[in-house]
Amino acid sequence: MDSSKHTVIIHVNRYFFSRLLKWFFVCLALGLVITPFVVMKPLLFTCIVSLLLAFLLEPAVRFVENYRIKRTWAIGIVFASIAIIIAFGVALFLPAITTEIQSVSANLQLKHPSVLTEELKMTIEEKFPLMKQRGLSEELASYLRSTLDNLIEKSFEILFEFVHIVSMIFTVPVFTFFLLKDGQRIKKSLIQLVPNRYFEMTLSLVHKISRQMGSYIRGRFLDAFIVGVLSSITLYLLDIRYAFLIGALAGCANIIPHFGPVVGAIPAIVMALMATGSFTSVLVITICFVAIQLFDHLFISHMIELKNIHIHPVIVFLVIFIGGYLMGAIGMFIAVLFTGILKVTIIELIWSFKHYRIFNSKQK
Amino acid sequence: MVDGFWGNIFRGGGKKESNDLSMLKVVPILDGLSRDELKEFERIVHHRHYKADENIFWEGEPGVGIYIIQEGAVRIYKTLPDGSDKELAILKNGDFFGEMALLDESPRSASAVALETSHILGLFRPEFFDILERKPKLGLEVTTKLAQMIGNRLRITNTELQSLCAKFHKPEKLSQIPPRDMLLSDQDKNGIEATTTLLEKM
Repeated sequence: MDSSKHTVIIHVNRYFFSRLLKWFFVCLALGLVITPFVVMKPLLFTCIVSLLLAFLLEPAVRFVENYRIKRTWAIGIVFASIAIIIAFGVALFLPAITTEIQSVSANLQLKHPSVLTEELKMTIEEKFPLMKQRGLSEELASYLRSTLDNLIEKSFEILFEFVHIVSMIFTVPVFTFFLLKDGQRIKKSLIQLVPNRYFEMTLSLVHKISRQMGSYIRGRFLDAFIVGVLSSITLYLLDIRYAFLIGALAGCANIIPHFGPVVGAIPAIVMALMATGSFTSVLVITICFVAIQLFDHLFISHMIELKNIHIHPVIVFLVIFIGGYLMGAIGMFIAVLFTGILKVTIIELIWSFKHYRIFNSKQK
Repeated sequence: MVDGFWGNIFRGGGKKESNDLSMLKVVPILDGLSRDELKEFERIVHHRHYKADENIFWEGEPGVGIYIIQEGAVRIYKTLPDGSDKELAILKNGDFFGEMALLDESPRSASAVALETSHILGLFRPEFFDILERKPKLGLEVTTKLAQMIGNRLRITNTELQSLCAKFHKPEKLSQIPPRDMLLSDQDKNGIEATTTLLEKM
């Protein structure tokens, strides 16, 4: 009797250890795959940007494929079309935007930061005498001075970042091309590795998530693009300086829900305040931005089904904070998109756990 | 739990790949397609290996797709309310099952279990829909065949039901059967539901 008990214990232990060992190897393999991405941030950026681009371009590739064109050629046609659009866009809008950027950088470069802040201080004191009395203008000027000094110090770091960006211009299209071409095959090969018991659930889960992820990413970017264009046109009509630059900024900021629109409006308001100093123009711009947001909420976001993935403002705030801490400004955008994707994944996972009998191992 | 994972890595597939096209032709909805069109489906086919007594899917789970037996045997069964299993069919090489799941996510009407070590091809709805979206012409051809197949089945079910009712000589029950045309014009699901209710009454 004793010996039989002994045998059972040994058997259980052996089974337990063999499973433990297998899981250890699975974790080790995952670690080996993930580590290079964490260590080499540019590689991670390239992959994330390529993945986002692949999701954005997928409908266009499918549209071309519908004309009985092979996928590789379809991707080629889409890439060529984008190149042509970019070339036209550059030819049309670059002079306007370059002049704006040049004027911004000329203002920063030609004058020493201290001169620039002194000028700003004078302007503010001239237009708002109340601020001088309270010493607020001095405080503001010293704060701006230190920020600008920091900016110049950081310009060398930015130069290094620029090298990464140039390398990304070459690597991202290549990555995107292969993701579009072989994405399905990669997905299929990964699903093939799933054990039989979880296979059907995983297959359905992966496809549902990737479909929702695609529509979420496309929706956010389309929404940002529309808001950017509307803001640019409004600011241009209101004759605000750097209208296109601020409009583009407002569009980009709109990717972040709840807070983006507010952040996007600030540069426009500051610029109007500096140019005219009157609160009437600030009021007009604020009303315009609110109108654009209202239009966006009532019509555009409904049209592109963005409401399906609603993230609570507190979570957005936390996520932006974490993303910004880990990866800077780009991190904030990635974090917001990632949270949307995570929410979709959790919703679909809960649905799958309810409908599939994966925990019941004693099935006949 | 991880056994399947390792099994799938080291399964040494590939030798049966060339056979896929001829296996796919077995499915009525893919019958008559050209070689190039069949290759579209070959690309999305999954190869799965099941050990004896391993379940392929369970009754009540959301259906994901159709399975074609390349090698082995599969038992299709229903679990009755008293907990016992009722065998519906034993399927062998070249047979297919679960084709209704190509249409929607409605629950599987029966469970499937491998009777011996089996190699099964799977064609799944998400990827199937993907082809329909990318190649609408091919998609139309295949979905028409799927509709014809379901229509045929409904016709057979109706005929069997009528002969069954006549056999039991229950005129009052017979009067409850909807006219043949009405059943045929209904959706397949409705037809089956009507059939089940009538059979339960009998």
